[in-house]
Amino acid sequence: MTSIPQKDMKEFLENRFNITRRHFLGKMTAGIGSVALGSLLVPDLFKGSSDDSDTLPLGIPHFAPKAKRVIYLFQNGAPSQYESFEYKPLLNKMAGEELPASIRMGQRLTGMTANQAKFPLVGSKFQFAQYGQSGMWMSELFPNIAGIVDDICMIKTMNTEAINHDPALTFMQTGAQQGNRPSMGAWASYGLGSENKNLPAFSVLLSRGKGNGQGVYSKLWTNGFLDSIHQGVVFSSGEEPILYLNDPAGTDRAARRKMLDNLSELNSMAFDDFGDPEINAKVQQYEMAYRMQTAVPELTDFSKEPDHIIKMYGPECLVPGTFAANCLLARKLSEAGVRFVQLYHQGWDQHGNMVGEMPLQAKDTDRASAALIKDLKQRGLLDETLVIWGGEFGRTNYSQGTATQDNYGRDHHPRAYCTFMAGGGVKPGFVYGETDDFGYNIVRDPVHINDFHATVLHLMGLNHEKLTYKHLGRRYRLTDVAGKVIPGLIA
Amino acid sequence: MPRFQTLVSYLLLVIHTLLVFLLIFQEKVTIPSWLQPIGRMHPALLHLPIGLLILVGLLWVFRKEFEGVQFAKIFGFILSFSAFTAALAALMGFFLSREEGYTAELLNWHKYTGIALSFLMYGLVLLHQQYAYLKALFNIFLGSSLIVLMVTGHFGASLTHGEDYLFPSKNEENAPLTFDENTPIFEAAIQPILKAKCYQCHNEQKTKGELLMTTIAGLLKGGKNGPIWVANDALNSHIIQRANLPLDDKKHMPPKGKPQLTPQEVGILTAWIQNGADVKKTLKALAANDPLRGLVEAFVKKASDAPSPQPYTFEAASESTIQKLNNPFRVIFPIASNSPALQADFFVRQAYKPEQLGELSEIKTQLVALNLSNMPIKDDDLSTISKLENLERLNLNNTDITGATLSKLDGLSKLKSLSLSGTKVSTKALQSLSKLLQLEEVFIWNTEVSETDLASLRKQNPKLRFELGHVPKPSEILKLNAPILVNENFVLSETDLVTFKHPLHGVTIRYTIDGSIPDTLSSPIFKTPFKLTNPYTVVKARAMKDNWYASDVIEIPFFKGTYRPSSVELLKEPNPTYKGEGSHTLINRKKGDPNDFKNPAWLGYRESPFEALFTFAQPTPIKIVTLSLGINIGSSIFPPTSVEIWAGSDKNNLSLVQKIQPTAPQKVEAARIQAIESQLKEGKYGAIKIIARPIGKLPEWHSGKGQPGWVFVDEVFFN
Repeated sequence: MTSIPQKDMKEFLENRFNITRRHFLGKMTAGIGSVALGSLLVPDLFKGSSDDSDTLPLGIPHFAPKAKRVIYLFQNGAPSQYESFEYKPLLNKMAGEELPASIRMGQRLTGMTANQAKFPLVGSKFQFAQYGQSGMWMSELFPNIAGIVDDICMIKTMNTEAINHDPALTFMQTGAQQGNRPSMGAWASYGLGSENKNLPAFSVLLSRGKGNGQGVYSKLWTNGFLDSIHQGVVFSSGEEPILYLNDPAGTDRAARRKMLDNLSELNSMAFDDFGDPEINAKVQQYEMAYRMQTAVPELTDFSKEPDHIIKMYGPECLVPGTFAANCLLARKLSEAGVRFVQLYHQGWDQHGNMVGEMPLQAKDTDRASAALIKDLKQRGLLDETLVIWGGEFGRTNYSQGTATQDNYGRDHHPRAYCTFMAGGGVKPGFVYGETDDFGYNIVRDPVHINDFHATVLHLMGLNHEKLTYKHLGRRYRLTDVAGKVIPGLIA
Repeated sequence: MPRFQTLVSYLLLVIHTLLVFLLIFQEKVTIPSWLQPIGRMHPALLHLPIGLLILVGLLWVFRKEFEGVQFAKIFGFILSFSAFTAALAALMGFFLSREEGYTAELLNWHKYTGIALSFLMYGLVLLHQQYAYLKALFNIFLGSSLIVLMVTGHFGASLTHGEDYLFPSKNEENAPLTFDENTPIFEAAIQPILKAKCYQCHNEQKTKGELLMTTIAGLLKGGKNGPIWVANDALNSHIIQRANLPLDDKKHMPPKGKPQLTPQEVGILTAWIQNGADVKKTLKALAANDPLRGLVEAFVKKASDAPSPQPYTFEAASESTIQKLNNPFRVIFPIASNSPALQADFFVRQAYKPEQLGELSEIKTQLVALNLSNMPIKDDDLSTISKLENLERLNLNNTDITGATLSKLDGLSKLKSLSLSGTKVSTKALQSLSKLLQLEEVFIWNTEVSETDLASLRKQNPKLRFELGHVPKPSEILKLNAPILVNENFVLSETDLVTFKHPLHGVTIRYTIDGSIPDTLSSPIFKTPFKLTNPYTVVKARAMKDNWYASDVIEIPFFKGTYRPSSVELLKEPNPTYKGEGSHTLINRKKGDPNDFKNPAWLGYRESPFEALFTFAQPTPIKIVTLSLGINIGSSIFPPTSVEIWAGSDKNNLSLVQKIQPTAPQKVEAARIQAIESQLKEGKYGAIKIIARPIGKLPEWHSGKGQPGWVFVDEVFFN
């Protein structure tokens, strides 16, 4: 501190105590007054009940969790439910007929179909059949997922408010459409911490399909207002998932260690001066990066995987940056204790050319998704790992533009769509919720995104109402002021 | 005696006489309703004598610190007033005690100690007036008053807050409840509901409405309005009627302000009463489709799902022990907040040290889950693990154990889940698992255990769930991935070598450099990195392995450049959108990707032909000129219709060496690099000019038919 000029001292001191003189006095008067008043109005104010959210420790589940980890296979762009998991033969029967107004009930439309004069219903060009003991309906495009229907819990009644990709994705990932809130994975990291201290608790893997796609942005895996150690760490889709992992030529481990020790000493001096918590976060990140140098090579080396595992995921899993490779990597990360692995597979936005693109997208994901679930199961990890598969909203039951004999497209539909989960304490071989025969409206057991978030947190042993963070004068939750756990999904 | 004290002593006499009278005839006394509110003020007033009596005690202890006669007067004044409030509180308390719901023993204790206190304080007042003679007796009375104050206060508080309030008794809570088909519905669902929502006011201590709900006898007897339910007639049962009254109704139960019955709970009570309200009836006795069954099952499930701490009875390990054992490679954490049970996870095989396992003995009682997957755990280590007596989940996936010592785990009597996937355990070794009585599931994927072994294992251990996992179908043959080129640069220097790799182990890579397709038998096998000699070579390679189809062929064009011109001049300007890095683009040894023609490695021409002049500092013995082109038919980038090579000693003495007309494509082909080579006559050259003309009109079959095509050049090599 000696080097700081006198005139700056006040500022530094204020920073150190994180408060200015005015703030202090202001808080004092307001504080005492409000405490006195508050104690009269809220008799429990000083009760200090052990149920109080403030006192719940971070880094430990609130109660014994069913799912220790989550792998979220996010299908970015919104896969059509009608060509995948939602069997609606009425649409084939009524193909070409107008969507009845009694069904649409004034649903707002995107700019892409708002000016369309007609909304001709269109049925799936792909065949459906029932599979497994549960008799779940599956389209022919997903033969491998059809093979594991008795392990999955299919939600038919997901619903959202957003009708465009960006707000919908942001809602799905952060619980709010606007995009300054922490992502699900960041909340999980904040609430439960990292199981394996040598890897980031929240890892993000990206892949791109062959269909029409929408981009993904870092705001989807942001830490928002949470500490930046909870931010999602994006793995590179190149051959080295984590860049710059090797020490540069001429630097050995001991030298690296020494450098980090000295750096952290400097940083802790800076922290003493400024009190900025981000400095400590930085030090922790350097330390983790150092340990990652040992931990990661084991994970990214696929050469020890037996041939039949490679075949199970499909040989593309050896091509870095594919969905299959990301699924295999996700399994290895999850197996190594990464709390939340978030995959994004792009290319599911079939406004047109459904017949051309849907099979390609399905082919990219079907085999590897099913393989991941089977692989977790055979290692005894499925019980404690929750796998989620789904997009940000559904698609319309009518065609965008005119449906021809061979092809059609579907616009965005927020009122009902499908998402499935497996493992982690959800009911296996189970279908939750029901839509009408048009697939347009929910008739039974809706699952709003907030409810979905509440349920996922519950499965992870977190009470969504108590996992809070105070920011800008109020407490925030992933579900903010809504959401309820759906017991019907829990085994 | 001052006027106030005189008045008070008369009042005290009256009240105490009245109290004695009421006590004697208490069984016959009925409190008129107008007096009830006065009685109900007892809980408010009683705090006055408490505070005042403590003040009296304090003043008395510190009396030496005050001076003169005034102190005695003030002290007497306060003492009289406190005795008066005590007497008043006692009287009001008596009125309140006559109201319903307080018939128990606890109330009697409170009543008698309270009245005793009132008398003691009356005594104090009398004694103080005669203090000069009865000093010792006054001290005794004051001391006893304070003690009796505490006793009666405690009884009173227990009455209002419940006996568990101060020191909650623990033995009753957390008793693990197990329900099955033979549990009476009454115990499974009805009693828990009543306990949560009714017991508070209808117990042995506090029996409001003369209704005792904590015993079956009490329930059947009912309250002052008769039985609370009519079997098979829920709608005429008081308990249901009252629960369904509006919340503001005085008769609504539970009363406003108390925890209310949920619709689900009312539903269960209604259905149970409708079903006959039989306290002995079990779930088994219900038909499968009986609505009561569903309600009860849902309720029982919810109750057991409620976030409650696991029923572990052992002591928690100390915070410092857990902290000491925790490190980045061995993580130990409680399975839930407030649970004493711990889980330990090991990470990073390289960082594993054998002693780390033994150190867990410090938490052997608390450890219920241990994850050692991928660690170099040996057979001998199982004896260390077997000392972790409370282990429920053990993950040994991909460890080095052989199963020979698996029987050492026999002592783990609580083990429920055992993961052995990816180890060398044999079917024989697994047979010893039958001694683990609690064991539910065993994971044996990727072990020697075959499907036939599994059948016999299942027969021997019918209760165990063996998970064999994905069994590969030998008939399933898939196509391998293509090999991966390690080289990043397609322009090779004299020392550069070509290297391939493949992510799958045991793959054979075969290649050719003569343009032919590599076959599975005769093409050279890639073993070590190799050198190329020609200025332009297309290397073709593919990967092969047993039980896989051979991969697609990859084609990689390699270039070499021996001589570099001293300057390049673009005689015709490229299209402004694709002007690369200017003339230098052609000799910077940067190759472009034919799918990425916006890359500055490319020069693009459409309106005018490509025409560039290369000059050399001194005459150079060039033999071959190689022009590297990008072809992307879909994007209208075609081979040039003609390429002219001009050469000479300097730029003013050039002569046409060769005119090449590349074959025009007939359909859309994959984007690629194409090289055009021209042999020069032996000699030394100081300047070379190359002209390449783009196609003027795209052919009929192309989507841009009739429009001019493009020529893209990234590099020119001289050898």
